[in-house]
Amino acid sequence: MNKTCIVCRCEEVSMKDIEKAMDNGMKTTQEIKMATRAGMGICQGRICRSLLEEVTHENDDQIQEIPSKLTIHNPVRPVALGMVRKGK
Amino acid sequence: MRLKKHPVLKIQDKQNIPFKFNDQIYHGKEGETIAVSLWSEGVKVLRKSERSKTSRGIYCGIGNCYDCRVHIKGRGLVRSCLTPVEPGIEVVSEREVKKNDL
Amino acid sequence: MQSTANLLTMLALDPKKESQESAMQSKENFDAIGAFISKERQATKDETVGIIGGGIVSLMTGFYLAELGFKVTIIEKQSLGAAASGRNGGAVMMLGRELLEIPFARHSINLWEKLSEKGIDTQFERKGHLMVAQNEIEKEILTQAFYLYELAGIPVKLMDYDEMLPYASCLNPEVKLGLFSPEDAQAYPFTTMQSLIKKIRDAGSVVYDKTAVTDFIVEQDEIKAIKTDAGDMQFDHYILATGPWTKPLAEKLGEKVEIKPRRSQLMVSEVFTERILEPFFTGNGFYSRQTPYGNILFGGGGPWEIDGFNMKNTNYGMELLITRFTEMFPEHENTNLIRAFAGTVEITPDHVPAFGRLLHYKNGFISAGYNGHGFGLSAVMGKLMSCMIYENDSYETNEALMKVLDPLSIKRFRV
Repeated sequence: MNKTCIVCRCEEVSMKDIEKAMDNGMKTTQEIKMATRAGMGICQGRICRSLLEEVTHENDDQIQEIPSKLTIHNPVRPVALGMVRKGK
Repeated sequence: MRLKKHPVLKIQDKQNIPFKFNDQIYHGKEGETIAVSLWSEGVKVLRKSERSKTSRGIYCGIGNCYDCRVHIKGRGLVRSCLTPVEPGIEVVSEREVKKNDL
Repeated sequence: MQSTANLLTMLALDPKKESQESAMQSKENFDAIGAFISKERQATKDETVGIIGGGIVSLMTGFYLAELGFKVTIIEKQSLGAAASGRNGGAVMMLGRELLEIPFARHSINLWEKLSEKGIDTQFERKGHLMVAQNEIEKEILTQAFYLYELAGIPVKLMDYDEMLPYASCLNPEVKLGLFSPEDAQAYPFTTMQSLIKKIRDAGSVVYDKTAVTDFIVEQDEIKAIKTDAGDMQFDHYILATGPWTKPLAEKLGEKVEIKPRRSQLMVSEVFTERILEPFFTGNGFYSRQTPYGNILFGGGGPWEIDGFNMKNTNYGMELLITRFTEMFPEHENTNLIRAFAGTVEITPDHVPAFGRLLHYKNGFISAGYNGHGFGLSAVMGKLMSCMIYENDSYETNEALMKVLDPLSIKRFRV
C-alpha cells in the first residue's frame, strides 16, 4: 500500500504519519488526532474520521452505538466570528 | 465545457454571469455554482493546499469536505461547490491579509 | 472595547502587592536556580523513579531524569499528554507572571529553546509577548508592571500603537499602549510530547498508558510500592505529577494538597498561511497566538468558568471570547471559527505550584498545581526535580535553592 496516500486532506496527513504515531504508542482516534493533526482541519474529521476509525479498529465490536473517541464540539460547521460576537 | 445538445433534455438558454477568479474574468450561467462555472471554463484547480502547495479542486462536491473552499472579496470563505455565481463577485484562492511588517 | 474596566486578565502580577524587594528577590532566585541546574552532573545514577501521571510535566521530568541516568517509569491513567498538556495556548512565557514565578519561567524558556538540539521537535519560537492596554486604568497598571519587571531583571519595553502594529497587523487603533517582552516564546505541545515519549522510551524508560494507580504501599516514612492496573510496581523514588487529579491521590498518602480542577475554553480559527500575529498576544481579557500551522488560537478564563472536569464549550463563553477577540482585531469579522474546545486547569489557592518533597515520605515528591502555566514551566520544573532527586540527600542544605523552593512546598497546605 502506498503510505504517502493522504488520509486527512485538510491537514495533509499521510498514512505514513499515522503509522509513525501508532509506532509511538498512539492507539485511539483521539490520540492519533493529537499526534498527527488528522481531524483538526477545517472539515473537522468529516472526511477522515471513518478512515481513522478503520485504522484503529475502534468500532469493530460495536454497531455505531458508541461514536468515535474524537470529541465533538460547537461549532458544527465553520462560522464567521462576526456572526457570533455580541453587537452584530 | 458545457453540453450544447442532449437527446432528451432541453438545454435551456441561461443568462451569462461574468465574475472574477484570481483577477481573471470568467463567465458562468445563472443558477450555477462557482465551482461548476469554473469547471465549464476548464478551471479545475481552485486553490493550493496550505502545506504542500499542491492543487486542490472539487472533492466531495456536496459541501462536506471544504476542499473546494475559496474566498469572495468582502464576504469571506465559501464552499464553491455550493455557492451560486453572482455578477461581479471577485473570487480568490487566497484571501488578502494585512501581513506583519517585521 | 472597555473604557473603564481592567481586563488585563493575563497579568497575574499585581503592582499593589509586589515591591522593589520582591523584584530583587526574583533576581536572586533566578541566579540560585541557574547555579543549581547548570551544575555538571554525570549520568551515573541508576536508581529507579516512578512518575505517576503522563502529562507534559511528567514527560519533561522523565526526560531530564533519564539524561542523568535514572531508570524512569511513567504511569498514565488514560492517554499521554491528553489533558491540559494538549489543551493549552502553547505559551512558554514570563510576561504577566507574578514575580515569584518569573525566575522559574525565565529559565524554562531557555531550557525549552535547547530541547531541539536534543532532538525534541518543540517548534519553539521566541517571538516575544505583547500585552496591550485599552484604557487609562489598564495603561497605569501596565506601566507599573513594566517598572517591576525591569527591576526583576527581565528585558521589557513599552510600545505605542505604531511600534506594535508590525507585530499584530489588524490591531485596533484604539489600543494606545503595549508592554513587550522579547524573550517570551511559544511551542507546539503535540510534536513536543511525541518526541519526548519517543526519547524516553529509546532511553530505556517504560511508559504505561491506560494504567491507573490505585493505592500506595508504605512503611514508616517510605513508599514501598504503588498498586496499579498492571500490578504492583516498586521504585527508589516516586513523583506525583497528576495535575488536577492530585488532591485525592495525595490524600491516599495522608498528604494535604489543595489543587482543584477548573474548565478553560479555547477557540480555533481557520488557517492563515501568512503570519498575521507574530508574538504571543494578550489583552482585553483573552490570550492568543498564531500556531505554526497557521490557525489563530485564542482563549481566556473568567467567572463564567466552573470547577470540575467539564470540558464542554458554552455559548456564553464562546460569544464572550469571540466578542473580545473581534474588538481587538475588528478586521477578523469574516474569519471563520472552525473549532472550539475546553480543557482543565489546576488551581491552587495562592496560584503557587505544589512542588518538592512530600512531608511524610522521604522518597516521595510532587510536581503539580501549575495554574494553567504548566506547559511553559514544565521544562524548568522537570529539570529542577531531576537535579533535586540526583542530590536527594543534600539539596535541602542549599540555602539559596531552598529560598526558591520553600514557597512551593506543600507544607503550606497544612492547617
